[in-house]
Order: sequence, then structure tokens, then C-alpha cells
Amino acid sequence: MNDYFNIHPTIFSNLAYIISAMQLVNFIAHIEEEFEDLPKGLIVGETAFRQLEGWSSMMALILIARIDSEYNVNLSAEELAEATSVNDLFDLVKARVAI
Amino acid sequence: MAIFSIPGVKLAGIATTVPMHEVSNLDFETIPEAERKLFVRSTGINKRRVAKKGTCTSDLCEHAANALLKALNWKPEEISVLVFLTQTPDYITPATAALLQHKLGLPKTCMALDVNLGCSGYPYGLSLVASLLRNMPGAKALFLAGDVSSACLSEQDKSAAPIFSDAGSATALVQDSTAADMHFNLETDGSGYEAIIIPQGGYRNPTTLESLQYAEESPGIIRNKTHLVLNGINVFNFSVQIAPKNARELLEHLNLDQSSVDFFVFHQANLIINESIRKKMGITLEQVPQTLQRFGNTSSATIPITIASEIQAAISKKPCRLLLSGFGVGLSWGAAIIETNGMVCLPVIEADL
Repeated sequence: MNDYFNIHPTIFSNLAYIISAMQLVNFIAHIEEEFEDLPKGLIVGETAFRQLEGWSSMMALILIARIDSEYNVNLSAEELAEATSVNDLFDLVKARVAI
Repeated sequence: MAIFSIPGVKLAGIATTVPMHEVSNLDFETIPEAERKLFVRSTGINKRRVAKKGTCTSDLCEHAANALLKALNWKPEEISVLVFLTQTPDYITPATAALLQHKLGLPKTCMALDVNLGCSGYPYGLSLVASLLRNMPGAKALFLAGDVSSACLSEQDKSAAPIFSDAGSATALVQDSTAADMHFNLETDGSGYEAIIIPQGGYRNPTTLESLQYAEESPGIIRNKTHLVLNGINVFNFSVQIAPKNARELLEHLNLDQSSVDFFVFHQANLIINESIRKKMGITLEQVPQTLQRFGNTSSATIPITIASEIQAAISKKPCRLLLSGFGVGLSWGAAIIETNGMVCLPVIEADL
């Protein structure tokens, strides 16, 4: 019986990792929807979003608005300017809200 | 807290004037075609009105005011209060309201003053004029608001030029003890003053020869220091946070439900901002008239233009309760709740100005 509850502690860190990865997949899906001309699967966490085809300053506002609508998080112009990759954006959102 | 109600002042009428000359953002040559299409789709702003060189906001407002006086059958000599709200006055000194008093043929017994506000200006101006009229039995007032933003923008700045459009409005108010109360919630946060700013040409940073030198701030943004600078992202964040909150506070203060408002007339900033606000408030498209496609962002004139263009017919059929919400430069924002009982509303006038 005791063995039943004897869960190896690493499973929790693994679980946290899996949940975070799933959240990143969702986050990327939202961004992909805004870059509607790009093929699905092209954008990953490491993608430098400003290098994507179709990027413009208008896209910056579109992403900020999408993040606001999905997560109720407002990233400032200064925060956005410091972000390079999709992961950077994801981390900013994650730090602000339990997603 | 600037939440208050003003009894006994009636909104008698609204007229708006835009320049005839129309420019399409699909022809905005300094950015690639794909980006232009994305811009129009996202901001909702296709056409904008551009005044002739030399035309001032006061010219557009004077035009609207004359049309309104005529429609109301009011004589200029009956006007006791003139408030002119703009960020593009004729001169730095004197106040343009004085020139308008003379041009409109208003009597010397009329008080006249300028107010320097932009996108939040319409609810602010209504509150000022109504407060003054409240203690002036039978008095009539003109509240003129608008901007010729094209005069302070760089046409080579893709972050600002395609958004703004030129217009002037005239609103007539009269002291009337039978009128429904007007309600206001007006707020300010000057810590954000740099979000929308003309950096030089005032007295903090006077114009020098360097002020007039054009520089490329980033691709597609070429301007000098006397041009308007707009931080789109920070303005978005500010607007979507404060406008719904400010409007809700006023409704709650009055124990009014959102469904009791016939129309929510928001300042027309751009579609991304306006749709985010609408969705946050959970109100239907039918409750939120919109004029971005045709008239763009005309600063303090967006609210009267949207009333005149989109809900004029509804207002003429029955009295409506309107929630007006303005937000922007300052940072400054506010809401007004008004009833349109027997208000005269002219369709938007196009003038060769």
C-alpha cells in the first residue's frame, strides 16, 4: 500500500516539464495563427520571430493584442523590444500568469 | 474621484465636417503592399480625410457650427459659452476660441476658451460645457472639437500617418430643467505622457534648426522632432486596460446594467484596440457603432462623427441612452452617459476645406 504512494520525486519535475511544453505548443499555435501565410510547424520556441517572413511592426501590435486576448497579459513595447525568440515571449507571459 | 452627474443641461444637436479629400491607406507608398493590406485589415482604417494645406481645425469646426446653428434655428447672438477643444489650434497664442467667437458672429458677452485634449476630449468637453451652463439659466453653448492631425504628422511615418484623419465637430447644449442628467467619469495618468507626444516646438523643448531635420527612426518611420510620435503598443496596453474599467465604474456607480445602454460610442482608435475593448466588455457588435473604415481616427471628433454617421437614424426615432468613451494622449480618458431626447443630428458633412 505504501508503495502505491511512493512516487519517485523526479516525476513531478518531469510532469512540470511536460505541462510547460504543452503550454508552449498552445502559445506557438496562437502565434502561428497570426502568421497565416507561413506553413504550420515552422515556428518553434527558438524561432527569432522578427526574422519570420511577413514580420512588420504591425505584427508586433497584432501579437501583443493576441497575447492580451488569450492570457490577459499586457507586454510593454520595452519588453517586446528585449525579446528575440518565441521562448522569450512565452517566458514573459508565463512569469505574469499561471498558464 | 471625478465621477459626477450634471442635471438640467440638454444636448441639443451635433454636426460634423470632414474635408472632401480622401486618401486610401492601400496607396501608402512608403511601405510594401503586403504590409499595407495587413495594416488596413488589422487597424480597420482604409480611407482617411486630409485637409487642404492651410486648413485649420477651426475652419472645419466653424463649418460644422454654422450648419448646426442653422439646423437648430439658433442665432449666433444667443450663444453664451464657446469651448474649442483641439491639439491643432490656429496659433500658439492667442486662443483659437477667441477667433472663432468673432468668425461665428457670437456676441462679445460670450465666454470663449480653448482646451488642449485629444482622443479623450469629447466626454471632457461635454462635462466642462454642461458644468458652466448649469448655473446660467436658459443659456446656450457651442462645444467645438476636432483636429487636423495631418498637419502635425510625417507622411513618411507608417506608425502614425495612416491612422489619423482630419475632422471638426460642433455640439450644441442648452440649459433646460427638464433634461435628463449627464454622467461622467474622467481620469488622468500623466506618467504616460510620452506615449503620444510632439517632442519639440513647445516651451520645454523649443524648436531649433535641428528640430526640423528628418531622421529615419526605424524602417518606414521618417520624421522630425516637431511631428507626432505614437507608441502603438503602449497605447494599446493603456487603452484596453482603462477604457472598459472606466466605463464599468460609471455604470456601477449609477446602478446601470450594460444592457440598459443603447449604444456604446467609443473613440475610434484602431480596430485592434476597439475590438479588444468590446470583447473585454462583452458587448455585441450591434451595440458598438464603428467608423474606422471611412473616417479613421479623427482624435476628439471620432465620437460625434460615429454618432452622426452610424446612429443618427436610431436617435431620431426614439430617445437613446449612449455611453461615450474617449481615451488617449495625456494619458487622459473618460466616459459620459447621456440621453438623446429630441437631439438634432446632421449627417457627416463633406466640405471643400
